[in-house]
Amino acid sequence: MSQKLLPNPDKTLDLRGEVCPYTFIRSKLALEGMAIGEVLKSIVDFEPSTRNIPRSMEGEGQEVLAVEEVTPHVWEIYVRKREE
Amino acid sequence: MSGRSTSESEKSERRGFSILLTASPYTSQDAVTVLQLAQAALRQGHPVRLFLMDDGVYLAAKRLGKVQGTDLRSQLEAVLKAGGEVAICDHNAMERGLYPEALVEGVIPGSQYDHAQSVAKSARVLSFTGGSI
Repeated sequence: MSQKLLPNPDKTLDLRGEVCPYTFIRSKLALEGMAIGEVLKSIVDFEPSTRNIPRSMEGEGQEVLAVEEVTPHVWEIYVRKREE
Repeated sequence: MSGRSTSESEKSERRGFSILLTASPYTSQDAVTVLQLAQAALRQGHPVRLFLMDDGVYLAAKRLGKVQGTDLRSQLEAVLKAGGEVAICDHNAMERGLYPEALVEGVIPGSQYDHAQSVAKSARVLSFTGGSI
Protein backbone atom coordinates (compact mmCIF):
# COMPACT_ATOMS: atom_id res chain seq x y z
CA MET A 1 0.00 0.00 0.00
CA SER A 2 1.38 3.39 -0.94
CA GLN A 3 1.03 6.28 1.44
CA LYS A 4 -0.03 8.46 -1.54
CA LEU A 5 -3.25 6.48 -1.79
CA LEU A 6 -4.17 6.94 1.85
CA PRO A 7 -6.78 9.44 2.97
CA ASN A 8 -5.77 12.42 5.04
CA PRO A 9 -6.10 11.42 8.68
CA ASP A 10 -8.82 13.12 10.71
CA LYS A 11 -6.62 12.80 13.78
CA THR A 12 -2.92 12.15 14.34
CA LEU A 13 -1.37 10.76 17.50
CA ASP A 14 2.36 11.02 18.04
CA LEU A 15 3.16 8.01 20.21
CA ARG A 16 6.92 8.07 19.80
CA GLY A 17 8.52 7.14 23.11
CA GLU A 18 5.50 5.08 24.19
CA VAL A 19 5.49 1.29 24.46
CA CYS A 20 2.79 -1.37 24.63
CA PRO A 21 0.15 -1.41 25.87
CA TYR A 22 -0.06 2.39 25.89
CA THR A 23 0.32 2.70 22.13
CA PHE A 24 -2.83 0.63 21.62
CA ILE A 25 -4.73 2.09 24.58
CA ARG A 26 -4.13 5.68 23.49
CA SER A 27 -5.04 4.81 19.90
CA LYS A 28 -8.23 3.10 21.05
CA LEU A 29 -9.19 6.03 23.27
CA ALA A 30 -8.58 8.45 20.41
CA LEU A 31 -10.74 6.36 18.10
CA GLU A 32 -13.56 6.32 20.65
CA GLY A 33 -13.84 10.07 20.27
CA MET A 34 -14.02 9.93 16.48
CA ALA A 35 -16.91 9.33 14.10
CA ILE A 36 -17.47 6.18 12.04
CA GLY A 37 -15.50 6.43 8.81
CA GLU A 38 -12.85 8.79 10.17
CA VAL A 39 -9.17 7.89 9.96
CA LEU A 40 -6.65 7.88 12.78
CA LYS A 41 -2.92 8.02 12.16
CA SER A 42 -0.74 6.73 15.01
CA ILE A 43 3.00 7.42 14.81
CA VAL A 44 5.10 4.89 16.74
CA ASP A 45 8.77 4.07 17.20
CA PHE A 46 8.24 0.84 19.14
CA GLU A 47 8.46 -2.03 16.67
CA PRO A 48 6.09 -4.49 18.44
CA SER A 49 3.36 -1.85 18.15
CA THR A 50 3.46 -2.25 14.38
CA ARG A 51 2.13 -5.77 14.93
CA ASN A 52 0.00 -5.30 18.02
CA ILE A 53 -1.92 -2.13 17.18
CA PRO A 54 -3.15 -3.50 13.82
CA ARG A 55 -4.04 -6.92 15.24
CA SER A 56 -5.84 -5.43 18.24
CA MET A 57 -7.66 -2.86 16.10
CA GLU A 58 -8.88 -5.59 13.77
CA GLY A 59 -9.98 -7.53 16.83
CA GLU A 60 -12.09 -4.52 17.75
CA GLY A 61 -13.68 -4.47 14.30
CA GLN A 62 -11.72 -1.49 12.96
CA GLU A 63 -10.13 -1.33 9.51
CA VAL A 64 -6.36 -1.13 9.28
CA LEU A 65 -5.49 0.79 6.13
CA ALA A 66 -1.71 0.72 6.29
CA VAL A 67 1.41 0.33 8.39
CA GLU A 68 4.31 2.23 6.84
CA GLU A 69 7.88 2.75 7.98
CA VAL A 70 8.34 6.41 7.10
CA THR A 71 11.87 6.79 8.46
CA PRO A 72 14.11 4.16 10.08
CA HIS A 73 12.31 2.88 13.21
CA VAL A 74 9.37 5.26 12.85
CA TRP A 75 6.08 3.89 11.58
CA GLU A 76 2.70 5.36 10.74
CA ILE A 77 -0.37 3.22 11.32
CA TYR A 78 -3.61 4.23 9.59
CA VAL A 79 -6.90 2.96 11.01
CA ARG A 80 -10.41 3.75 9.81
CA LYS A 81 -13.11 3.61 12.47
CA ARG A 82 -15.72 1.00 11.54
CA GLU A 83 -17.20 0.14 14.95
CA GLU A 84 -18.26 2.16 17.98
CA MET B 1 -12.00 1.22 28.37
CA SER B 2 -15.45 2.15 27.24
CA GLY B 3 -16.69 1.75 30.79
CA ARG B 4 -19.35 -0.70 29.64
CA SER B 5 -20.36 -3.16 32.33
CA THR B 6 -20.42 -6.90 31.68
CA SER B 7 -23.89 -8.29 31.09
CA GLU B 8 -25.15 -11.56 32.54
CA SER B 9 -25.33 -13.06 29.03
CA GLU B 10 -21.71 -12.15 28.38
CA LYS B 11 -20.70 -13.76 31.65
CA SER B 12 -22.57 -16.96 30.77
CA GLU B 13 -20.74 -17.13 27.43
CA ARG B 14 -17.37 -17.29 29.16
CA ARG B 15 -15.75 -20.69 28.87
CA GLY B 16 -12.55 -22.37 29.89
CA PHE B 17 -9.41 -21.03 31.48
CA SER B 18 -7.24 -17.98 31.10
CA ILE B 19 -3.82 -18.73 32.53
CA LEU B 20 -1.14 -16.12 33.16
CA LEU B 21 2.47 -17.23 33.59
CA THR B 22 5.16 -14.74 34.57
CA ALA B 23 7.68 -17.18 36.01
CA SER B 24 10.73 -18.31 34.10
CA PRO B 25 10.68 -21.97 33.05
CA TYR B 26 12.72 -24.32 35.23
CA THR B 27 13.16 -21.84 38.08
CA SER B 28 9.96 -22.92 39.78
CA GLN B 29 7.27 -25.54 39.39
CA ASP B 30 4.93 -23.03 37.75
CA ALA B 31 5.61 -23.67 34.06
CA VAL B 32 5.26 -27.43 34.51
CA THR B 33 2.04 -26.95 36.48
CA VAL B 34 0.62 -24.59 33.86
CA LEU B 35 1.38 -26.94 30.97
CA GLN B 36 0.03 -30.02 32.72
CA LEU B 37 -3.07 -28.15 33.83
CA ALA B 38 -3.61 -26.81 30.32
CA GLN B 39 -3.30 -30.25 28.75
CA ALA B 40 -5.68 -31.78 31.30
CA ALA B 41 -8.25 -29.03 30.71
CA LEU B 42 -8.03 -29.41 26.94
CA ARG B 43 -8.49 -33.17 27.25
CA GLN B 44 -11.71 -32.46 29.14
CA GLY B 45 -12.90 -30.14 26.39
CA HIS B 46 -12.28 -26.83 28.16
CA PRO B 47 -10.80 -23.98 26.09
CA VAL B 48 -7.40 -22.84 27.37
CA ARG B 49 -5.74 -19.49 26.73
CA LEU B 50 -2.20 -18.98 28.01
CA PHE B 51 -0.61 -15.57 28.28
CA LEU B 52 3.12 -15.40 28.97
CA MET B 53 4.78 -12.26 30.23
CA ASP B 54 7.88 -11.11 32.13
CA ASP B 55 10.28 -14.09 32.32
CA GLY B 56 7.38 -16.39 31.45
CA VAL B 57 8.02 -15.52 27.79
CA TYR B 58 11.05 -17.80 27.81
CA LEU B 59 8.65 -20.74 27.78
CA ALA B 60 7.81 -19.86 24.16
CA ALA B 61 11.43 -19.86 23.00
CA LYS B 62 12.07 -22.25 20.14
CA ARG B 63 15.51 -23.01 21.59
CA LEU B 64 14.33 -23.80 25.12
CA GLY B 65 16.25 -26.85 26.29
CA LYS B 66 15.35 -29.94 28.28
CA VAL B 67 16.31 -30.13 31.93
CA GLN B 68 16.64 -33.46 33.76
CA GLY B 69 14.26 -35.18 31.36
CA THR B 70 11.63 -32.44 31.47
CA ASP B 71 10.87 -31.08 28.01
CA LEU B 72 8.71 -27.99 28.39
CA ARG B 73 8.93 -27.10 24.72
CA SER B 74 7.31 -30.37 23.70
CA GLN B 75 4.61 -29.83 26.30
CA LEU B 76 3.92 -26.34 24.99
CA GLU B 77 3.68 -27.71 21.45
CA ALA B 78 1.25 -30.34 22.75
CA VAL B 79 -0.94 -27.58 24.20
CA LEU B 80 -0.94 -25.78 20.86
CA LYS B 81 -1.66 -28.98 18.96
CA ALA B 82 -4.60 -29.71 21.25
CA GLY B 83 -6.12 -26.34 20.41
CA GLY B 84 -4.80 -24.21 23.25
CA GLU B 85 -4.14 -20.56 22.49
CA VAL B 86 -0.75 -19.21 23.51
CA ALA B 87 0.10 -15.53 23.34
CA ILE B 88 3.07 -13.69 24.77
CA CYS B 89 3.85 -10.10 25.62
CA ASP B 90 5.86 -9.07 22.56
CA HIS B 91 7.36 -6.17 24.50
CA ASN B 92 8.72 -8.42 27.27
CA ALA B 93 9.92 -10.94 24.68
CA MET B 94 11.88 -8.36 22.71
CA GLU B 95 13.42 -7.02 25.92
CA ARG B 96 14.79 -10.53 26.37
CA GLY B 97 16.01 -10.91 22.78
CA LEU B 98 13.11 -13.12 21.73
CA TYR B 99 11.97 -11.85 18.35
CA PRO B 100 8.92 -13.41 16.65
CA GLU B 101 11.09 -15.73 14.56
CA ALA B 102 12.59 -17.14 17.77
CA LEU B 103 9.21 -18.33 19.05
CA VAL B 104 7.64 -21.77 18.87
CA GLU B 105 5.36 -21.95 15.84
CA GLY B 106 1.78 -21.04 16.69
CA VAL B 107 2.63 -18.71 19.55
CA ILE B 108 1.15 -15.24 19.06
CA PRO B 109 3.48 -12.29 19.67
CA GLY B 110 0.80 -10.23 21.38
CA SER B 111 0.17 -7.60 24.00
CA GLN B 112 -1.93 -6.87 27.05
CA TYR B 113 -4.85 -6.65 24.63
CA ASP B 114 -4.54 -10.42 24.16
CA HIS B 115 -4.37 -10.88 27.91
CA ALA B 116 -7.51 -8.79 28.37
CA GLN B 117 -9.34 -10.73 25.66
CA SER B 118 -8.25 -14.00 27.25
CA VAL B 119 -9.66 -12.95 30.61
CA ALA B 120 -12.87 -11.62 29.06
CA LYS B 121 -13.59 -14.90 27.25
CA SER B 122 -12.77 -17.28 30.09
CA ALA B 123 -14.81 -18.61 32.99
CA ARG B 124 -11.78 -18.89 35.28
CA VAL B 125 -8.53 -16.95 35.54
CA LEU B 126 -5.39 -18.47 37.04
CA SER B 127 -2.13 -16.65 37.72
CA PHE B 128 1.28 -18.26 38.18
CA THR B 129 3.97 -15.82 39.19
CA GLY B 130 6.76 -18.01 40.52
CA GLY B 131 6.28 -17.20 44.17
CA SER B 132 7.66 -19.55 46.78
CA ILE B 133 5.31 -22.13 48.24
